[in-house]
Amino acid sequence: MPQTCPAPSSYLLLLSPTGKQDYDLLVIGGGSGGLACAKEAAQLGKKVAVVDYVEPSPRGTSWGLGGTCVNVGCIPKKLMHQAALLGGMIRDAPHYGWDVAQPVQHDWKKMAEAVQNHVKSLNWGHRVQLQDRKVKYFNIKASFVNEHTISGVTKGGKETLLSAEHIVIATGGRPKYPTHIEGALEYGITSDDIFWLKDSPGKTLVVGASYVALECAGFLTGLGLDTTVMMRSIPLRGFDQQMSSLVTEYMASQGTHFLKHCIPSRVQKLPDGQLQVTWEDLTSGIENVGTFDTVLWAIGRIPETRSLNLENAGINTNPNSQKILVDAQEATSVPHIYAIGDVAEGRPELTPTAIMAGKLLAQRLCGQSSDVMDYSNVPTTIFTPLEYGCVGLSEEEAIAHYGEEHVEVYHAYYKPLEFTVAERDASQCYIKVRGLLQAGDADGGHPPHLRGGGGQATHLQALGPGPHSDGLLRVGSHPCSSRAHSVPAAPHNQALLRLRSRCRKCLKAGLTPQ
Amino acid sequence: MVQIIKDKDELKTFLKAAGCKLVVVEFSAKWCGPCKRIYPLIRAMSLQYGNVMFANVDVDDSKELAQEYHINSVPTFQMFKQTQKVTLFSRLKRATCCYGNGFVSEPIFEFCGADAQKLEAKIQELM
Repeated sequence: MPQTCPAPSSYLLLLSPTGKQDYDLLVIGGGSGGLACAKEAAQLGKKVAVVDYVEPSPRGTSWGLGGTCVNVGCIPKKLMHQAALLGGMIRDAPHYGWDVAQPVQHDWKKMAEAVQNHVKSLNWGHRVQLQDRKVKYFNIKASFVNEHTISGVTKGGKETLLSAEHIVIATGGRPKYPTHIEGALEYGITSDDIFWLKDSPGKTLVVGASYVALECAGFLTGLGLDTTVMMRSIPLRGFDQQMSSLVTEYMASQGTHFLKHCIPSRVQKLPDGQLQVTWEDLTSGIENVGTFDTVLWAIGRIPETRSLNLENAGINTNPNSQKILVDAQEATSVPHIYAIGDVAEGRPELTPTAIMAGKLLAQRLCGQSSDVMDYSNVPTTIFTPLEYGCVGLSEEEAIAHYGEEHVEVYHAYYKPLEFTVAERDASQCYIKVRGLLQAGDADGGHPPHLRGGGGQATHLQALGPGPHSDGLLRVGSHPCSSRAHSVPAAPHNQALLRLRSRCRKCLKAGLTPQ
Repeated sequence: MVQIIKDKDELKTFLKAAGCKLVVVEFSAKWCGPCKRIYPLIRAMSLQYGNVMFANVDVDDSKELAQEYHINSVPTFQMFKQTQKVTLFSRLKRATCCYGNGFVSEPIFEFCGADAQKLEAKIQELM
């Protein structure tokens, strides 16, 4: 597709002799953030347009309206994770009296079709919603012509110009390919492709230590596929490392193979169609070779800014991450142009925050509110076989920020009730809370005053104020197979009472039991 | 048989050709489970009710048509029937053939959901 950039002035004359733009708001990107922003602004009476376009993956995979979450992220991931968990439940079932023949086989084709059909229904649902809210939708690839104008090109090459008073960039990101590795691009796939495979990926090598890598490896293993994770160094960089190792330990106990401290150097295709991967073991320096049906790269994501021609509008990006620089109002270096979601610098790459930010931005643009998005203490969950929910600072961050002597850690290993009858190994079920120790009356028998450090975990808001009087004791982090039930759901407060203090100094008073 | 309709022009042609017969247009999608389940029943009905015309529109293949008829769930069944304008001219013509002054492309009835029994009952009522 040719990208033409004629002189801006000629377009200004063409489009706005009276200075009027086509739209009040133009949203570039029809994902979580973009759609939420567009729909909200339209509801508040603005004339809104959304442009969305999916550049096919190197493998050729493409999808409809809805963005990463709907098509190649949260939704299909969670469904396949659920498919894998069901396999485990089927294995547990006989313990509970069910007459289920073991072992049970999994049909990838059937699962993939069901997942893909659901995603397509969501694509359609979003289109209908936009129509209902009178938001104009264009399936075109956008790039900036000037500050108020974008050029959009259809798949067939037809170009349209659209102008708007305000523009929101919500183009998200795409998976990174290690292009320096021979054969990586030609033979490997990414998360863009795995959920759209019609046939089973078979014996898979997942390269990476991100939550994407571990979640994918987790469900592939759960579905009965021979799965290996290759990591260069630590798992889940940026997350609490104790919790991360519990996550990988559990995965290993379930059959996922781990190649730690290894980096791939080459991928070649064998005559029978399988892939041969060569890698270096960093600890021994020895080169190894392995054969796989599929190689899945999960080594990180890059923002979708490269083809936007941001410089035509004067929008600044972080030179390292290439993400768009924004302020607390989500505004870019150009006052009437904003950026939300994964494409913006410094934002968590999460759907709920993008949606909230989009809605608040729309409200601010329509003069309905002056609230800005609060990105702190956002709970998140990693849907590995043993799920890990967390909020607030990791132990490493807390210690780095406050100093070890001021961080109080409360923790407990526990066995979820569901694991008992089914005789499941609960070695990695664990809960950890970090609190900030305030200088108090050391010999007065006052219990330590816990403050900050944690917030609400995703599925433990039912915990409420714990045994501590300040009411702020909530869960910091925990890996568990939970959701609504399980974990310290039932005996909430008693579970916390069982927490032992793993403190740095000896405290006379403990927690006050209730 | 069930006629596949791709766009507005094809629908117009189909409705015109139906004359005064009842027309049942199903809006469906390939990813829709209930649509798949009801499909054989629709086919059977199309063979059974010779004086009713059946058509199908895929909401992804024919986006504009789906949008025009405000389809927001699948399957949706819309039924059309040429209305007779009561004029002297039509009274004279009634005996021979119901030839109105132009057909109406507004559905006379719509319902959503893959309820084959409900569909059949309505067809029998309107045909």
